[in-house]
Amino acid sequence: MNKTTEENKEQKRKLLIIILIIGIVVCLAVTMWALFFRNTKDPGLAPDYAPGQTEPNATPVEDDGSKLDVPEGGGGISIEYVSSVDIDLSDNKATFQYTHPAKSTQNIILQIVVKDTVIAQSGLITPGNRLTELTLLDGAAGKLSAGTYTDAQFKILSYDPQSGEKAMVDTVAQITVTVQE
Amino acid sequence: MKCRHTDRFTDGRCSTCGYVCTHETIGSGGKCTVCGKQIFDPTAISVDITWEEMSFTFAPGRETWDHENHIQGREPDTWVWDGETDGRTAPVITVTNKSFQAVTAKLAFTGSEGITGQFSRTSLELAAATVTDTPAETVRFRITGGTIDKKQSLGSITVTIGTVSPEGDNKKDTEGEA
Repeated sequence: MNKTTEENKEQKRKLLIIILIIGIVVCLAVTMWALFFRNTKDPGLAPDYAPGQTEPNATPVEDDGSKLDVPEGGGGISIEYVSSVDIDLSDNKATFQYTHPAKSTQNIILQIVVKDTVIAQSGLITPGNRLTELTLLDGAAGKLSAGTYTDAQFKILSYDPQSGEKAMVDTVAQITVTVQE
Repeated sequence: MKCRHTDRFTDGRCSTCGYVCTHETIGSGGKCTVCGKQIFDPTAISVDITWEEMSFTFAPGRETWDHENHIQGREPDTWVWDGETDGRTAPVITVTNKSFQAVTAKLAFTGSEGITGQFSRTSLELAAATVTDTPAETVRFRITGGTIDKKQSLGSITVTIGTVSPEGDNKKDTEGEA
């Protein structure tokens, strides 16, 4: 009788240990996923302060150096673009023509938005630079299919070059995005 | 240096080699009437957007007391533009079209935490620019409601630039295949 009770206790103890080990393994797996595998990028939200990293694909354009006539405390941007954007899903890139002229007084971040989803985002672009190519964000290619999207925009987020603070005024330009596989 | 790139000129300068066309006579479609080069890309959109200082001060309405009827009241809250000058009480946003095609500009304000704002106009139409004329329109903006108790962002203004189709209709969004 006593022997049977002891065996039952031992079995319960073993079961408890197994459950605890499984629990610890699950916790470790969740922690590992959160630390190393979770996609922490959230480019759809405009940062309140400009990122420190400038856009590596931006190339300088020659300019006479004049600036927009902006009242003290205000701001101004000049936008120059061609409203057609091509996306090649095979190389995961968007190609386009966008110039951020030197006369602008703000730094910018350029986003390409298709049907309210940000599919590509630049680093910080200072005035006097042109951008013609962006790599699509992780997972963006899977949301697109071959064809033409007319519900698409360049979203131009403006940042004060001194404070890095986001300006109150943003600009959106309607574009057409053509996707090919 | 002679530029041979005929299709990549912006503001009179070749975007490939930097050559500047010094001829001042520009004909239709942005072509130089002397050398025939494409000085402006006629399909490119070029728009300037400037804005005055966008900071406002909130003043909560003072408590009042109606001595005759013994009722406590409160004056309305007020929002004052910090850049008030020359009697103007609202900042101006200016949109200038430098493209060889007409554009539209739509303005919208997204307030944070109950802040509301109002434009004097929310939709602008700007004719195509010419060599001698760059059409510009202005809009005034003011904060109309909401309260704050610390320095904070009041929201964001979005200026949406669109093109106008030859028929005169604004570019329309149509369905894609997401």
